[in-house]
Amino acid sequence: MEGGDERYCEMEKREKDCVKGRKTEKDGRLDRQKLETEGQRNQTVRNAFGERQERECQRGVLRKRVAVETCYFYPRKNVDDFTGPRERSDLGFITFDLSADLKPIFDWNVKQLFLYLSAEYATKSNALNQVVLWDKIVLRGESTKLNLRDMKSKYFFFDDGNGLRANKNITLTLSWNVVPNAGILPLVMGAGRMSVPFPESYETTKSY
Amino acid sequence: MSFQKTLTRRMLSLDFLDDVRRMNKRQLYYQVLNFGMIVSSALMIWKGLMVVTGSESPIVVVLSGSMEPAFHRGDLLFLTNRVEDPIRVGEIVVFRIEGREIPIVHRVLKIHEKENGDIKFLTKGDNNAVDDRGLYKQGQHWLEKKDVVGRARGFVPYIGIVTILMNDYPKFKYAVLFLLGLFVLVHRE
Repeated sequence: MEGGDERYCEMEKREKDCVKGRKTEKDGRLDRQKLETEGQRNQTVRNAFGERQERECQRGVLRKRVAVETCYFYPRKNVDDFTGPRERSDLGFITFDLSADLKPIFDWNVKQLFLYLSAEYATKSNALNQVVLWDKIVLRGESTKLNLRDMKSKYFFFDDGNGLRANKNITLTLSWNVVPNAGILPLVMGAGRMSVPFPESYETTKSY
Repeated sequence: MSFQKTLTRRMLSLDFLDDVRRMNKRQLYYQVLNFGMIVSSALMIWKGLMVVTGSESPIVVVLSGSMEPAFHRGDLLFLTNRVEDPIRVGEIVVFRIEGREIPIVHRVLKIHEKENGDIKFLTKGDNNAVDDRGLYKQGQHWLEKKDVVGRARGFVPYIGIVTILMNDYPKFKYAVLFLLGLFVLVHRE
């Protein structure tokens, strides 16, 4: 996808490795020095349906060695929610990129790691809402370097009501649950978080 | 003669049964009281754990494979249910659905909490493809604090298999209880 490749080239800042129409990537890790200083950037890309869409990219460092970058499309919809008690609820769509190095968390007593990306926000009807958008199980022995691009949320980001529209502050946090071979089950939250605003109006076109 | 030799001789010739018959009333009452003390101590430890953790069932055995590969059938979980710890996303909760007595161990997927502290949440097993709405009562879409038995804080693998075996094979359970009772009553100390 041409639009996507341009984005990769720009982010990785390795023009010489990028060929228009085809992405060549030798080492997928993002440069962490650049991550700390970079702020926000807007881009216009084409989505899977060829429509032009605004995209906002934010970079951040969550913990010393876990770098996360989230880029999101932010259309939202108000749809029939058959799973909840009310007729229509807000449904949000977030796409993100994630890169992480989990090696320092694994020690002799860690059997697996349950990673999850959660969104936390407040609405008029509820003081605190937390929704898991995506999760992953990393077993001991599996590759500890994650480099995921264009990830869609695994679970529907439904709100209990209509509180996502024009919500200025949705905080995304990466956390993990360490499952030991035997012993305590700690739940660790990544040290940084990323704040994402949702737009004022609903989107009528297809988003994913 | 050495103690070992005496013991084997006595066991083999079933001499210990004679000992039981020879025990006078006082010794018998003493043995029964000993037995009673052991049972009460065990109960007190259990109740003490219930108070410290705040949970009505501080130790549970995982019964299903819905949290694999983290927990398998037969793993033991240690729970706490303190009011000061709010329920947050990603925690492993053990809850009971109204009308069913078997507790379920799953992870919290979504929470919606009001200002006054009323919380409603949704759960999902790691190994399940969908969330637990299908398991809840008819018409129930969320779980509440009152359904929670506790939050999993620690875990030990495999040990709970004994409980599962005792449940599935009641004869095994009676055999174990019978042997334990016999041992305590007959043991001379």
